[in-house]
Amino acid sequence: MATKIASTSASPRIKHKRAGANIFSILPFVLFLIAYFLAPRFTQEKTLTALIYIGINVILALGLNLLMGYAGQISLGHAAFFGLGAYISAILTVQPIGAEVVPGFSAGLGVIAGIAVLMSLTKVSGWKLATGIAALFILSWICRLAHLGQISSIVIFTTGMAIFAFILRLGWWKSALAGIVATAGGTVCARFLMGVQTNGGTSPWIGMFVGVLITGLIAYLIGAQVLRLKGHYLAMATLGFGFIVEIMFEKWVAVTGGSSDGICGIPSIMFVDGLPRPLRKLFEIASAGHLGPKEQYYYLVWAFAFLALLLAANIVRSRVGRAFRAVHGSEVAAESLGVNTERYKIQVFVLSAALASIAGSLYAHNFGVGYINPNEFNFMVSIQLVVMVVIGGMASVWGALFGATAIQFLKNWILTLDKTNIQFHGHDLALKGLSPIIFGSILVLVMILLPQGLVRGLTDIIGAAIRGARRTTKRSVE
Amino acid sequence: MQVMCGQTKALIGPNGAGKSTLLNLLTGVLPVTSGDIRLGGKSIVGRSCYEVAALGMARTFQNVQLFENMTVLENVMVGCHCWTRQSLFSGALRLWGHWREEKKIIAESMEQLERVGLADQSDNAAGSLPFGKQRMLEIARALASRPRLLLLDEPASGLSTRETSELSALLRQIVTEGVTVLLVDHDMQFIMDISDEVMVLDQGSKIAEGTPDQVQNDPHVIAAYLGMEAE
Repeated sequence: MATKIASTSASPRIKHKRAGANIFSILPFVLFLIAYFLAPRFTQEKTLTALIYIGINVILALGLNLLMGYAGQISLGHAAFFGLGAYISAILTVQPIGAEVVPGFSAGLGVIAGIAVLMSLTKVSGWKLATGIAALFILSWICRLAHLGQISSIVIFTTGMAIFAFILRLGWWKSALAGIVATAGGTVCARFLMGVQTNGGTSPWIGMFVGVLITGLIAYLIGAQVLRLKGHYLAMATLGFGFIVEIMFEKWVAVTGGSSDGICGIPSIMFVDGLPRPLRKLFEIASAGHLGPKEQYYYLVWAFAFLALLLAANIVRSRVGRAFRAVHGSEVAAESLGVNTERYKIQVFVLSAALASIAGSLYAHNFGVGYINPNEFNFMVSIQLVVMVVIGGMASVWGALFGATAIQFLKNWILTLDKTNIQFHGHDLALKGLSPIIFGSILVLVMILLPQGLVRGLTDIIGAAIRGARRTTKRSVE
Repeated sequence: MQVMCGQTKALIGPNGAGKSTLLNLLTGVLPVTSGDIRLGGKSIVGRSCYEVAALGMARTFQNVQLFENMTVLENVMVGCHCWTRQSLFSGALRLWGHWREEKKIIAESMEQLERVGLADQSDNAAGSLPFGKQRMLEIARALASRPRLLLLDEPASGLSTRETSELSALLRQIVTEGVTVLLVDHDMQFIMDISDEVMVLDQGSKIAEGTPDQVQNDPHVIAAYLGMEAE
């Protein structure tokens, strides 16, 4: 009974405390904004370049942290989504796909959209899904071979999918809808690509948007199948996906330029020039007149990073964010409380892929580079992302900021290490290419010594040290 | 088997009698191969776990399944999931609906925490609570989903005598509020104390059902618990 009285008297205070955002939850954002505006004034060009990369990495690490740290699902293939964003953005802005590839390419994309609709509406899986995918591809093939017009191909697709649904006892209108989406998606895609081709490239903003759309679609298709796996199996599946995409970048030379050429001449984005006048003035004053293209790009990247931080911080403290964390804590318990774990796992996977895609577009349009090749999105990048998340601290939004910064400095340091020849007893040590080993050992050390990440881990250690010191002084006073 | 509305029913039986299996069938964790399960007249066979939960069935687990990475309050707030609707976007953009719903969720969660006597620990990590409190938290979390039927899998195991009596007081209060309780346990005194009706399972089949007194004197039950020679 005593505990009951105590609890009722304590509760109003607690309720009051939780009622709204307090000053301490806003303070980091305010400091962040001030630093954001003033940074170009005090930094050299080299630092600004590093800051741009850090900003891109922050977006990537945030996305992966939502997936790994909060929802507890590992992905070892995140560089694939990063690369997809970069490549789609780059292809659409500089190297419109050749006219002979457009029809097949857009029909394929339409079919992918159709598969997504079929999967999300009918919830099929296994061999039935495989048959459905095959049916969509065959229908699309028939339409191409027969050179059908739009209307007749929609009719063919709809009836074909309805017959398929009837045979497999799926919802017929759902399958028919998948067929309609497949044709309509293909047509829209073909129109869009032809338009891009005649104009010789589209604006980077559209590239970024389309990148997010397609990457999100692919993440949905992959996630819905792969996220049923757990632990090591999920890691292996995502790893495999990462390799497939990497190989696609390397070998699909007609579209991606392959590994030797890559894509060159990608335009940058003049962020501040596109803003309304008063805002432009604000940026000009903040940067003290040094508002070159590099500074503008810095402002753009960090505007995205800031937005991503803000949204992620909001998400983790909302209904859906709690569902993500519940999935991490205990899937059975989450299910028993009405959380559709499968749906939320897919949701966080798609969200994370979309963030990676935005980061990829920003990476591709980086000022003064304008070039991408498959090596920038390989397996090592996926590992680096995981290291970033772990070092920054799992399940910590601000940890992503720290992890991205730490990895960027480490990378620069390793690059200088690669270039210098360190002599040992008069022999060349040849430390070139050691970066994988260094990254790996850092990951292992952090996992063993500071499993909560560097930030939390170090503050805990310092806190414990202070408490220990206090205790000893107290004892000596007594 | 039938559980009447507003009743407290206990399910007992020797080890391996199929009690936990039955609970898992009810909540949709395991697939039903034959027979039918109805909740308020609606068949729930073939529905997945989260759908059953949304229909008003909440449960606790034999080995406590808390979200240890979250605070005590957040644990209960997850319980409010199935009667709230805000999407990822409204949460990310902090739309008006988010704030309105969040207020409701916090109020309900604090109410549930007060009821089990954990309101003053709402900001602590759930994993740091002592075992007995963790069980209470699990019940509070299940209640936050506003269930019609509450399934408790061995709620009294591992509790001290005082904690058990607190638990029975809590369960009595829950029943007066119109929630039906179905519980599985081995603590006979606790069961006979609070349940209106008891059902005994042995090797997957029902061997007795009735009021606590009837069941206690049933020869089949005595045989199942003490062995054949008692018959």
